[in-house]
Amino acid sequence: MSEYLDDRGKTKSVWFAVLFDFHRTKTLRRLLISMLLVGFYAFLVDYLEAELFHIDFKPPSYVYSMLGIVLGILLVFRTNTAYDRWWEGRKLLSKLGYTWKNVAIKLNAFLPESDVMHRRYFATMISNHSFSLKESLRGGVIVEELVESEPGILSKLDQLYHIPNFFLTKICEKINYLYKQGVITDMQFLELTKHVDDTSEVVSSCERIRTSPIPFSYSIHLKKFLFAFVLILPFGFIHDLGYWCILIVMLIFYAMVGLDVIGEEIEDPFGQDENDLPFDSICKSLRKNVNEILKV
Amino acid sequence: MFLSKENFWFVGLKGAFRTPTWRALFSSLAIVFVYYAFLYFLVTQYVDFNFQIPGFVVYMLGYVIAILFYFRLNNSYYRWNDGYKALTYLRANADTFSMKIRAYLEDYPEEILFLSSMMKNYARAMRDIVRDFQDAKGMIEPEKGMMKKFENVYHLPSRINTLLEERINSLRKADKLTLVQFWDLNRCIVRNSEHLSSAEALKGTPPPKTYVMHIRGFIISYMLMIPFGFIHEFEAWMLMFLLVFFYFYAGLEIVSDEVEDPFGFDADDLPVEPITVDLENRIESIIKT
Repeated sequence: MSEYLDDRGKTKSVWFAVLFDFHRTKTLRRLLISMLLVGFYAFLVDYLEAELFHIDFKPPSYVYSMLGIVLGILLVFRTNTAYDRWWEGRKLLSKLGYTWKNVAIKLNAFLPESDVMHRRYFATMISNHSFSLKESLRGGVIVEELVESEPGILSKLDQLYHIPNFFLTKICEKINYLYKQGVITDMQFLELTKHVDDTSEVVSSCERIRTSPIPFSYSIHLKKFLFAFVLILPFGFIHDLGYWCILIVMLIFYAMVGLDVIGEEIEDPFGQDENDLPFDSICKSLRKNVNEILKV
Repeated sequence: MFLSKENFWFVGLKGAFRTPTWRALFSSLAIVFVYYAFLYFLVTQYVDFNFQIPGFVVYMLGYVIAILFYFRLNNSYYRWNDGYKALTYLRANADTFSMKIRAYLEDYPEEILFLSSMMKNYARAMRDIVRDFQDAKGMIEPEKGMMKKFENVYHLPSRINTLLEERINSLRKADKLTLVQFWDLNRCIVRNSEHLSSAEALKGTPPPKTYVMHIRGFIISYMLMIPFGFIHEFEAWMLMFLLVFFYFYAGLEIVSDEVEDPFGFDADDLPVEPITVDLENRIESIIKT
């Protein structure tokens, strides 16, 4: 019922399918308790106002629309920058992929067909580099994902300060070794070392995205603003809507604060949540690609 | 699991009172409060204003202010991000440079030590210069007697780059580096200046003052004007409300102001010091392992 076939025979979900999946979204799960609290607050305001105090306090409706515009724009900014970081992360991963593929393509041409040893060495080191980058961004290392390209290379990984750099250093050394041995010419050497710089930039930039959330003073200001908005929200409705305002306040809270929560969710894209980047599969496909190009 | 901190949005509000906005806005809040109190007194006791600014004017100006905020925040954030990028690119460059000298100069450990210390010095000099000072004493001495070459210099990072280039060149002359290796290392040195100057551009050029002043003037006149939109339903409550609005509106301006100059010692500034330390550790681990 929630899916249909389009002209080209592709399965598509109907637009309102979200209604059936709604309960599974992470935003709702993360906001449920807070929404209930806000609903309770609205009830309290309503009750006190209707039964006890009868204050005639009613801000004109344009106060809310005025604040709503500013808040809306701030939330756009929040999601925009968070998405920007998420997408920058994705672009960096593409850059990592194509840089290594280019290195493999060049190595395949430069190295003699029979030099299986070096082909295998580079193929394993390239995949080691990308897999270890993935895990170092998640704060660790999984030795099982790595391949022992030379004996004992994986034995002291946990003592290293920075694992991806370690593999990159090895690659750099091997390129220099091949050059010194006369296996590759000087121009071929330059063509290869160029890519080492690019990869290093990807590593450092991914670390920047991971370690720098949006400036604290901004995110806390936005939260304070949202909080204050929610606090005055019930006063706009109680005179007209009575207890129905509880639902409306909860709905507005969900819509607005949800954006803040999504922003938090996507601004560090290297984790393993459903909204994070498919880093594992990118690494795996890179490994397959490089192995295929280098014919190992 | 369900009751974890992550699922409780209000936890994020902790630290709400530690931000610089309170301090920066305290006097302005006091002034606006006095103005509102005076107006209230005037309206309730003496003057009967018979004009009221229509709601749509207040509303419309709110629109304009919101868009201006977006523009200002966006600019400041991207300045901050660019500052971060400059630092991380320098770190990447230092990484590749050390990998390369380690491979190319395998047989000359004293050269590796010299060049890597100079790279660390460059990062230190950049850390200092984006914070408006130079400290020749804080440099690492790469070789005996080098320290005096850092003293009394107009621009320390350029001096360090000069020394690096001289050394690479003499290594080439002495045939310790081949032509293409020399070429390759040179590329790294060139990139040093590139990243430093993008950081210096951020440091030295704040956004045009007139435009910042215009936004501030706009916010203040808006806040002074708003009470006339409510003049017929003037209540003390409303004024407290407006004070809170003022805090949030002007606070955004303060936030942008904090963020737009990303190098410094504030809580919101970039972690220049930790990044430099990280860079040094990485160089160390590359050349030692």
